[in-house]
Amino acid sequence: MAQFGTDPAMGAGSTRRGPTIVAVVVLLVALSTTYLPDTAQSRIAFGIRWSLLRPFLAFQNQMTETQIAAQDVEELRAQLDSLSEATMTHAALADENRTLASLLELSDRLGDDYMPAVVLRPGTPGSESMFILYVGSDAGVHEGSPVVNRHGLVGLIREVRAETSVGMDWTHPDFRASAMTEDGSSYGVVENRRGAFREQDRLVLAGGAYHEDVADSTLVVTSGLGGVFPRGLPIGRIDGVAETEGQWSKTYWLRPFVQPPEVTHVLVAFSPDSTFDMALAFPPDSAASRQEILRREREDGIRLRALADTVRRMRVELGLPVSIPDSLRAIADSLGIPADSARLLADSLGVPVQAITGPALGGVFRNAIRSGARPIVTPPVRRPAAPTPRPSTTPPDTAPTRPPPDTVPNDTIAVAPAGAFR
Amino acid sequence: MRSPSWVLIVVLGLVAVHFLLHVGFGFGEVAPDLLTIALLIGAREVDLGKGAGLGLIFGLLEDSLSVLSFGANTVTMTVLGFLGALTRDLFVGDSLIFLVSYLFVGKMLRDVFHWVMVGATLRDPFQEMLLQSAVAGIYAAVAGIVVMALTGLWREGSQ
Repeated sequence: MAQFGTDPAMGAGSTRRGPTIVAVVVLLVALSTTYLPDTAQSRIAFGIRWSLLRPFLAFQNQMTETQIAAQDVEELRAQLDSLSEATMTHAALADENRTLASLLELSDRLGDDYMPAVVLRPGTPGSESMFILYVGSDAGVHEGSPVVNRHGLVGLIREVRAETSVGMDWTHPDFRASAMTEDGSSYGVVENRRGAFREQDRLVLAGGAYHEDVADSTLVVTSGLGGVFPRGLPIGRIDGVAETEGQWSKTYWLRPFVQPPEVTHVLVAFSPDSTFDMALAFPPDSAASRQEILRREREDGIRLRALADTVRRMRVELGLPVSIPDSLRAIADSLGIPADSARLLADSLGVPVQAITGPALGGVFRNAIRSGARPIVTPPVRRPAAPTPRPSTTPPDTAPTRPPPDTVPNDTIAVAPAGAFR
Repeated sequence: MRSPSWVLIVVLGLVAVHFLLHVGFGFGEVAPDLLTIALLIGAREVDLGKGAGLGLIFGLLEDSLSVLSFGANTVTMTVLGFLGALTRDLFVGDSLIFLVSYLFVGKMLRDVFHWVMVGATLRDPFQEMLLQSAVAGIYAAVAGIVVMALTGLWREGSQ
């Protein structure tokens, strides 16, 4: 057990007076740090980060890059697997292509005012909602610069140094963004609402007019008011009424598109054009969280496979041996998809290029894609006799004896929704 | 093996490992608060002024990474360093029960002081802080004893 008493080695009270005075002075110095101006605090913090903590921050940067490299290797492996699988399912490869292209498109749409950066999180007490970026004033970043990723608004820059900057995401209690509904019918301020625990923190759209009802799932974007964020940056979707204040104001819950823990790469504005409407860079139909995009892609894949099965059945039933590569191109053009994608799709359907059908199948194809209904699982109606295959001398793009698309029984058609081939 | 220079090396090593785990690897709460453990160990070896000074330096190190509540960690660690040095006058000995209690209470006090100093806007709910602090206190006590045993700063049976 510990002994209780005075350490005889410490000596009399007079010898302890010196250290006590020093301790009191140190305590006063410590207290004074909380009252220093922001600039002085930033200067001290930066000095320590730049000197004593620099190796650790550099190490973190190295670790992050290593993780990214490891992820790249995994992605390459996945792509290799996909490539192997693509001999049978080219549609999946085309789908993956679209996903990657959408990532690049955002960067293109945002123009030269945004630069990419890797997000680092210190992970120490008091820094839960902040992140460090290795881009600073040398690159043109300034305080208040918006930080975005492909899903929408992540946060903004709070402090800038020559080569680094510190930002905060929307989970920070000080986060505020002037926002509006997609159609501009309702305005308010988006802020973080603390829960009983950090996991219960949510975004709210506060200050909505009492007499207006904003429907659930309505897209909420930045309004551009106040000049901090450009207009049109997606933030989230309405998720019900949180509370009403008297009879003059409503507050709505928001489902944010961006989940800060998942954010590893961002785009930072360094000289944003204040008149640029971000709705051009973030079209409303593209606004979605990562989970929503993954779910949508999964559903698209299921529909594509269903469509492939259906077309395969139709081909067997209708007996369509005509070789019309030009028709394939025509179908692709009429559907607004690249010819190469159509070729990939044709391959994935198991239809040889030399046996691609003409207008009949094209019409069915088009109807199936545009009808927007869900796949039908009813087995095909068995026909008494299959149509006689056309002779190989039949000229391309002509199929006079083939039944028109409207005569094809619906119970054999599994259809994809509009936009499945966008 | 408890010379002042060895204690200093252990303390500095703990500080380096703390930032390596928390900042370098980004482990966050998964890693124990070795900075507090280092302060509590170091403060037992020095007088009040040096204990407070040690806390001031450690606090500034942590505050440099939390610019939105700058000073909270500095004051917290300074007070903790002062109190740690004060226990030298009050409790003599290094029994297991005392060390576990010392590290547990020290870590809890650190969290409570920080909660008080961080300000109302950034403050977590009190119950949440208390719960997390208790768990972190146990974690720190276990980690501290392991560190002290491994470095020879504590041996079973020592008083």
